[in-house]
Amino acid sequence: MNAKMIPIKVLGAFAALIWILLPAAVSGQELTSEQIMNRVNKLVSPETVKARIRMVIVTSSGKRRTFLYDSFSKDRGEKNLIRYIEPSRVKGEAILMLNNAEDIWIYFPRTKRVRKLATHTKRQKWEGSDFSYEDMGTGETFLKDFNSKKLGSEKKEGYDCYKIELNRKRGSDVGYSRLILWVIKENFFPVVINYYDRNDPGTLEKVLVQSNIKEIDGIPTGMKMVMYNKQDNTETSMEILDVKYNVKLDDGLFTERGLRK
Amino acid sequence: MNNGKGPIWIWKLCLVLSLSIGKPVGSFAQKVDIYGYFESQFMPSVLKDEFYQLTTNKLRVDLESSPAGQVTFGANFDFISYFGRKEWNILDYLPGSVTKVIPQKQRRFFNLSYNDTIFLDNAYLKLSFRFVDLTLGKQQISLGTGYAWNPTDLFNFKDLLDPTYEQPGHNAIRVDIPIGNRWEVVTIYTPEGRWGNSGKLIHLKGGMEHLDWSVIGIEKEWTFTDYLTSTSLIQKRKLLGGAFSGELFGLGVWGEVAHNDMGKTNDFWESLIGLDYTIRSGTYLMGEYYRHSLGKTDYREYNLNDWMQLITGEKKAISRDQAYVLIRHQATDLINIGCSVMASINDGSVGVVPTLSYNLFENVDLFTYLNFNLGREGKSFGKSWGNGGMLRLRVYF
Repeated sequence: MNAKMIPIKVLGAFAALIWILLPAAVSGQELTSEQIMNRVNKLVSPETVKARIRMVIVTSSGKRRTFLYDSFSKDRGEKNLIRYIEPSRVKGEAILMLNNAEDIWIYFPRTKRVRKLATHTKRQKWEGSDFSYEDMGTGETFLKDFNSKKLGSEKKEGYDCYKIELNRKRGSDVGYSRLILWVIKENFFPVVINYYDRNDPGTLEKVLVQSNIKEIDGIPTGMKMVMYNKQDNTETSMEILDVKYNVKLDDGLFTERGLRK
Repeated sequence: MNNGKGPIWIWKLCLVLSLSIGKPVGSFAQKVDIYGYFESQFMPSVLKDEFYQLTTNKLRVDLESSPAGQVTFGANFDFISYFGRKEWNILDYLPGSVTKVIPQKQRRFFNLSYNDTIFLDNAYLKLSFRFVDLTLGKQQISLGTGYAWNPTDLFNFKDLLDPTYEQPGHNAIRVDIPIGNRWEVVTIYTPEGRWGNSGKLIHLKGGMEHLDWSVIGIEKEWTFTDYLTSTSLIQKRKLLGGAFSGELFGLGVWGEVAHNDMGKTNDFWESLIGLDYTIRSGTYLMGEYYRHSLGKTDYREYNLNDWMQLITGEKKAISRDQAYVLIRHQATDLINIGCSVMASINDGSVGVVPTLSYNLFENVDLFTYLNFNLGREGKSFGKSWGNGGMLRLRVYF
């Protein structure tokens, strides 16, 4: 053995020390907005998701409409399929969104008809709720469609949060001009998101609040989310009844054939 | 027209196939999902200063079962009862210049009666395998991308006043073969008495970027009736066409084109192009243009057969060029208001249909429209049709 060479054991111990100390060093540093949003994106766009969700719409007149649906997502949210279970009037209806909701198809079981929607419809209300098709089907939109800026730290919903502003990139046709996110420092979960008008960055359009955060399959998950529409004075809540991450989902599910099943 | 009496051998084949994949048909009863709706429709109309009304009550019961991942059984029964004026004569709606050639004693041949009915609308078995889906039995067949007209669809006939209403089932054997994620071949066979007069369809569907397209070939027995002589001309209709749906400059765009090779009458083309857009306020705008190459351009040439073939669905339009425009706006969270306008470009007549839909309760929808035919008598949307409306209350269960 060459005497000048560092023994393998010493090298290994040094590497282990770096491995242990590095996250602490990083967390001690101020993370940039890009680093934070990369962590957020990784969290909110797992490889695959399968969930059963109850959605409750509360109209401006206080009437409630409840929907139950199964949701399937693949390739970090790039492919999405939603299939209604309840109420009876929409039972069996299904929505397929591909390419981050650039392509949308709807299946109507009563007529056995599949209709392709143009992208202008992605900003329409989804089943009369305060979520748009775009809200439901865009995977990595935070990174692809927006530039990020860190506004500081703030306490929100009882959590220590990073406050991040996202401004729409030039050339993007995403339906919001600006977003403000409050990201929990501990786990990078976006607990509150403010959505601003497509054409007026000063007009607050909607606020999403996530609560009852549980760790499912190692991923922090807001078991309840409420979207408040500040313009229409309505709200829509979603409650996750069951969720599984990184399950095997066949590509065939995200096709017209899968839509009609 | 489909009379609902399918060949028994289809059901025998269903039984054999379902048994062959290891699940007895008898186990369906344990897992049948039952749902459907009840709807009551009130349809008033004013015709030649007389007020008429017809009310229908319809109960639709859907059954669905999936005893194994590969097997789905679906069926629905419709129970429909009619009240009010149940006897009509089609000639009352046609221009006097057309009906005057009908001798009085022949007028009864144009009577139309609405009788209470119960029928099996759909009943099918779907077997799904990795590389093929096989659907056997009475089933809906939906073709084309158009909203108001579908030139590539020889199986259904849409009502312009209510184009999205469900269509009846057809006895058929359907095979779907996916090729990759966005390509698919569909074949449909609709058995009649003999192979020669049975319907055959092949449909190749594909997608590229934001565009869906398809090529379709259909061979189907087709009947043109001469209502003056009460004779029918049965011939083989061969359709070759295509359809697409996509996007152009931010607008939704779709279209269909079909060449119809008729055995004994003149061949013709049908085509359709449609555009839609949602403006910032959420208001949805849609327009379609439909052309039938044998449609007439002068309304004074419309004859009894033209009108009757339009009414019975033997052809989709009476004039050559038609337009359909729809505007729809979400007035409140639960109320949609809209208006559709139907027009014959050749004779300049227009029909206007204001609509309102309201989700009254969780599973209760109200839908209503009025229809006004503003054209001169004798034109496509002329006054001879009268004015009317419809109020539908539907309860889902």
